[in-house]
Amino acid sequence: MQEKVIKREVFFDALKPGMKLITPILDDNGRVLVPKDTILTDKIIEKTREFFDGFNDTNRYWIEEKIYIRSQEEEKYELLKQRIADRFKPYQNNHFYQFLENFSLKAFDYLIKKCPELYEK
Amino acid sequence: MKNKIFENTTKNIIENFEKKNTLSAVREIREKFNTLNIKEIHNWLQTNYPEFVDKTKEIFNNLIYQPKTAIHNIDEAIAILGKYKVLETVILYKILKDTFLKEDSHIRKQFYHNIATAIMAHYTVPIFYKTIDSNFEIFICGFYHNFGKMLLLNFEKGMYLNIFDESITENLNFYEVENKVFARSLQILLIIRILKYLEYPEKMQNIIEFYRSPNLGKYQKESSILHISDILVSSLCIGETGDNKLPEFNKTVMNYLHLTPDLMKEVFKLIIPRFVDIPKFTKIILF
Repeated sequence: MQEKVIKREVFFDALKPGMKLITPILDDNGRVLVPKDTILTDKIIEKTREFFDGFNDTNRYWIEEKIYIRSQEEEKYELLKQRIADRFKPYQNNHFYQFLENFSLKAFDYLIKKCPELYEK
Repeated sequence: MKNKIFENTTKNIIENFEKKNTLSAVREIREKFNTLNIKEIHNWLQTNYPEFVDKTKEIFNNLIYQPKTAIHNIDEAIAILGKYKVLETVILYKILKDTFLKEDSHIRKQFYHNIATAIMAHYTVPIFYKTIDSNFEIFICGFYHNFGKMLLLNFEKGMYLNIFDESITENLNFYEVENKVFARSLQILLIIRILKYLEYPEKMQNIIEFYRSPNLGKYQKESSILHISDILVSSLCIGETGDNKLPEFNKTVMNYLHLTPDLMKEVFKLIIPRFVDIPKFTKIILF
């Protein structure tokens, strides 16, 4: 999977652990509650939420976060694996077919690496 | 109505072969291979099928044919692989070139499935029947077992896509939709008629006709091999078959062949590596 860093503006309720603050969280008097460049944790978010309790915070905050994007190949790989698994759905409780599913998935892993053209769209 | 669809489709296909003199060409290839010596066959092919002769190395030096030593020309191909394999490959080449003129990804994917089944069947025979020498006939049967779908795609694409779409919507397999609409498999009927037209032996027609229910056919061993090969290849999602679910193994075949997980493992280990040459082979022989 490909890692990508993006910046976006979110409401307080959308803050999540792992996000890095680009703008600080301030109280009503402009005092810094959480400084910029802080990487948010559950604890920080919880404490800040307690501070704002009863107050409808409509401020938006700029954050930076890592997202993971599947390449087209990875998408295709997952889709095909799912297709193989789907073919075996009618035989879910049959040991023999479960063995075959297992062999097929291993063989598929081998083939898609050695010869991706076999699985062209 | 059902008969009319079948008759019209068959008529179109046979008319196409007649336009191209395919049947007389196939007869001539068989006759030359039966009467000429290796050198003469080489010369005859050089004159009549120069593009095949030019591609000899690419056609035969791969994991599908797996020659004992590298093949450089037709003489060596016949000496190493035997007359029958080369003869059947030339016929296959001629039929494919006369039939499929325009590149089509559906047809290519069907071809992948057919070739994979052919390889699986050919190399599976010695595993199940240790006393029988594997013979290329089962390879050809494997190749043709779904050829009717390639023909439908080429001559009646609309009908093929209707069946294909319905199989997806109804979560059925292609042959289940065919059975629902035509009460039989149209693609099997088609291929049997075409094999008959091209004067393939009755045995091959029967093996293919009964590959879904080998216990009803005359050549149960061969149809059984084709039956399990088709299902094993389907389980890998190689190419296109129009099947959304894995077809069920015929119980009689399972008892007959004693297909156990260990045996399946052996089959996969031996045969799967051969599949990597399928796209290359397809480019040479189809498009």
